[in-house]
Amino acid sequence: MKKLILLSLIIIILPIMALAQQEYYYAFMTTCGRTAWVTTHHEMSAEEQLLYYDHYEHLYCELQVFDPDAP
Amino acid sequence: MKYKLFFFFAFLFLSCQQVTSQDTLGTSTHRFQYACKYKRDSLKKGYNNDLFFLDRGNNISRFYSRIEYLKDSAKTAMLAAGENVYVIQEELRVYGYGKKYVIVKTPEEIVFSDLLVTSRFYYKEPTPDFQWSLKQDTCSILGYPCQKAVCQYGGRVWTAWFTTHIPISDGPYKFSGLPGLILKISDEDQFFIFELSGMEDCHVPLLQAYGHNYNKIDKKRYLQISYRVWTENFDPSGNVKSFRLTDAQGRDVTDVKIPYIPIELY
Repeated sequence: MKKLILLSLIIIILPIMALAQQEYYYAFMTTCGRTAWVTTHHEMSAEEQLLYYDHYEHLYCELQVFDPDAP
Repeated sequence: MKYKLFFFFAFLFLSCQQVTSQDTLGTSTHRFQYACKYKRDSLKKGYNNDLFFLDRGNNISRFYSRIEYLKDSAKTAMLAAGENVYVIQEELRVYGYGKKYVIVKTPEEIVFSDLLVTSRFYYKEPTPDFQWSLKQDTCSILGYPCQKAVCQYGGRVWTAWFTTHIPISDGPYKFSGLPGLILKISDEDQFFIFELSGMEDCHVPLLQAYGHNYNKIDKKRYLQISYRVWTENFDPSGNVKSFRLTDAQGRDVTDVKIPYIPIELY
């Protein structure tokens, strides 16, 4: 009986552990040549990917915007 | 059983009512459009540009980026249409970058919300007493005679130009409290400049700054998280297991400090 319980626990726990260890790799290539390499434990939705891309593009590529009126 | 069902539906009905009342706070009567120029690096020339709407109703206003509003609408439509993420990314690039924060002002309080990477936050604060100092200097903006006023807020000295010809005590960002609309405001370092670029009669719902998927924090904590997001590649969602940044040559530049100028220092 004990063996059966142990076996059932292993059958249940192992896939959960494997799922927790699952990694997803993303590369966000910005227009200025910088690439953000991101690893997550969950698969990102399309919206999440767009938010990350938007953030990285602004963060790394829009540091200097030419403005002739700039002091 | 009947009672249980009654309470279940009553709860459902009241919950829906509450969500609806939180979301819409009124209707606007006017829309003021402000061009915003802001610096991200004090050592470099040049500004980033944004365009904001100030939708004003009866004793309430909502200040948000027009760029972000249009971009978000386009993104939602394309996602709903099942468009590929890379196609959407390319399509959205033409809009540029708009600030994600939204500010809802009432006479009593300010509600500020922001999206930091993928995490949504909001905080509330009492409407500040800006202690404006009125000056004799005058100028004309979009044909309106304006008077100068100075205040200190968030660790910066701000110079505003307001007109009593538009008797609305409001303005861009969190600013208000003058006897007329603020048409232009800038800090003494000229890191942030908001200037009125247009206005129209406009009747749109004034939505609350936050929704059910926003985390409530206090202002101090928000400023701390925001600083880390913009300078240290920090992601407040906690979903990122590892992060690395490379430049065009493939060199690791993860630890290179990113310049950032916060609009409020505290």
